[in-house]
Amino acid sequence: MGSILNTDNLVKRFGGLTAVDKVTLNVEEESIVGLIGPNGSGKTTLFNVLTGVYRPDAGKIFFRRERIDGLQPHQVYIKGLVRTFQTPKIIQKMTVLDNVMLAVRNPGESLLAALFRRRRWMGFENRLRERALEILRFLGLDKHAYTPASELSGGQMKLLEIARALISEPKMMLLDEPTAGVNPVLAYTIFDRVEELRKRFGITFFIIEHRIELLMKYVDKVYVMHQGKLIAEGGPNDVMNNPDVVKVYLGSV
Amino acid sequence: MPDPLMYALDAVAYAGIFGMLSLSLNLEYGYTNLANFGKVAFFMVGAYVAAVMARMKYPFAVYALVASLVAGFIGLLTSLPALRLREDFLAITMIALGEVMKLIVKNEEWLAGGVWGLSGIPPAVVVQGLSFRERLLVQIALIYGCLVACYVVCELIAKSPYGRVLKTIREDELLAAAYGKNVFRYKACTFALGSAVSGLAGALFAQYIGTVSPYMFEPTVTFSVWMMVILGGPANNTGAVLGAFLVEGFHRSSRLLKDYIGLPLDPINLQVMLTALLVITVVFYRPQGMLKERITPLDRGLLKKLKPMYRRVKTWVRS
Ligand SMILES: Nc1ncnc2c1ncn2[C@@H]1O[C@H](COP(=O)(O)OP(=O)(O)OP(=O)(O)O)[C@@H](O)[C@H]1O
Ligand SMILES: [Mg+2]
Repeated sequence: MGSILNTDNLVKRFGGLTAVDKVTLNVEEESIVGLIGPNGSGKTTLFNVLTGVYRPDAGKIFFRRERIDGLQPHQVYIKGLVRTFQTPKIIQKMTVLDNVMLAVRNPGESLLAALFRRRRWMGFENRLRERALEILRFLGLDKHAYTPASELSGGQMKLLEIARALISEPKMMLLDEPTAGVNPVLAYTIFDRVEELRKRFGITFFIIEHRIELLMKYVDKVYVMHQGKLIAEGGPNDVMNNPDVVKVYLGSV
Repeated sequence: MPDPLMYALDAVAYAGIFGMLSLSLNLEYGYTNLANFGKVAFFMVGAYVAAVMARMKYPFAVYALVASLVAGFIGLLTSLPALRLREDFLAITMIALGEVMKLIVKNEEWLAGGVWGLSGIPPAVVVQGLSFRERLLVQIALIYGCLVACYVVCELIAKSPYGRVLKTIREDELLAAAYGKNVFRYKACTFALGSAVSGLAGALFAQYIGTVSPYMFEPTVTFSVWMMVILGGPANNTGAVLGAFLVEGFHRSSRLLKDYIGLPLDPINLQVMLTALLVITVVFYRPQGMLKERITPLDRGLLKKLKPMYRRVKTWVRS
């Protein structure tokens, strides 16, 4: 199996701060890869660069062998690379269901269709709703489908983020701390779901996570980031025994 | 003191025209969070285009269409650079734009009569032998026909996936972009549509008043429309229209006060103060406006309500 996402000496600076420093990484298709590192080490910034939120100052990004650096976020999304956010971006003034459905490109999203060809997209919309309900059921949110999203708990909002990322049938998902603020039982459920999705649909995952023991049970490979640089990579055991990693983590405690 | 019924009918006609402006701003601000503080500019463009064409004896349908297209096009042109600005800068830029366009019209006499404006604009519908009051009723019918059309368009948008994208952009642009929406295109499109609706309102206004001059298009027009949307309830089309009635009714009744109460103070100043008081009261006690934004899924919209009713009527007719 080939690589699905790789970068070549990716750099992103904020003024004098180099938040992402010559990052070269490689994610294999249908794998689950972790990204760990202390607070402020540049993990979220790396995701932002990968998804086109920030343009890299140097370096290249390839997704399925295609250059994607320099693309706008919506163009990256259309390629099948989808991300979630560290602080859930939930639209409070919409139902949970609409929060999920908004992620899919829909023929009713053109002005003319909205006004004149309602029949055309209503069929699509109905099928989409069924699919959204199915995904919500998979993540245990179906009871809340028709409630305003503002009524969800923090953990449920994290699940909603995942549901939204799933519905467009992405090739690869970047999850930014999917279990932050989630109770331990639900955290395991989330990772079980991730594994199931990888098996059933062949989705590749790249996951930022602070719960290292939990992450290590599921990943094929881990990258460790520190001050913008990747300081280690490898299988869970290799990384945890790597003296550099131990030093970074002990140093930051 | 004028005939009170005429005064009321005139207020109704005004409320209808402003209702369209309010709907258009609601589309821009209420649904998409575009702080268009240059509303009056597009209203003016529509009014002037209509004035020129109506005096050349074009029929209403033609000049109303051209007025909306021109206003919409200018809206699109200005949005292209303006939408790259941050929200607050967009607001300031749009205020300036409104003033600049007014000054151009005012100072370029060859264009549209300069400070004198254009007068002698014939009304859209001319029926021989009608009394003044009847003609006013015809005007109201025309204006409210257009208002209903705009309302339906705005409701269709609000209850479509397109409207869902606008709301997503309003709440979080980054989210919208990260989930495949071309934010800039949606904003530009909304701006153009809102401007086109304002242009149509301008056309109605020109043929209703019969004359246009730069003094009719001061920034206060924009602020009135903002008040309508804020009071009525952003992201609620019914609220936007209700807000237009409220503000217009309030303006009119506070103007009437001076005829009934001897006041030691200029009624115009009083009106301004009362208006400020009204806005502060509503924003304080009901920050979401008179009518709240509804959180309903698309499939629970208008159609779902109408369908069972239609079925009931059908079975009733059959039996
Ligand atoms: N938009 C920005 N402008 C300036 N500096 C930024 C910006 N975004 C992030 N940074 C800085 O870049 C560095 C990396 O931040 P980032 O959010 O990527 O860290 P992180 O690894 O995700 O941390 P955490 O685990 O706390 O989420 C930090 O020092 C942060 O202050
Ligand atoms: Mg982070």
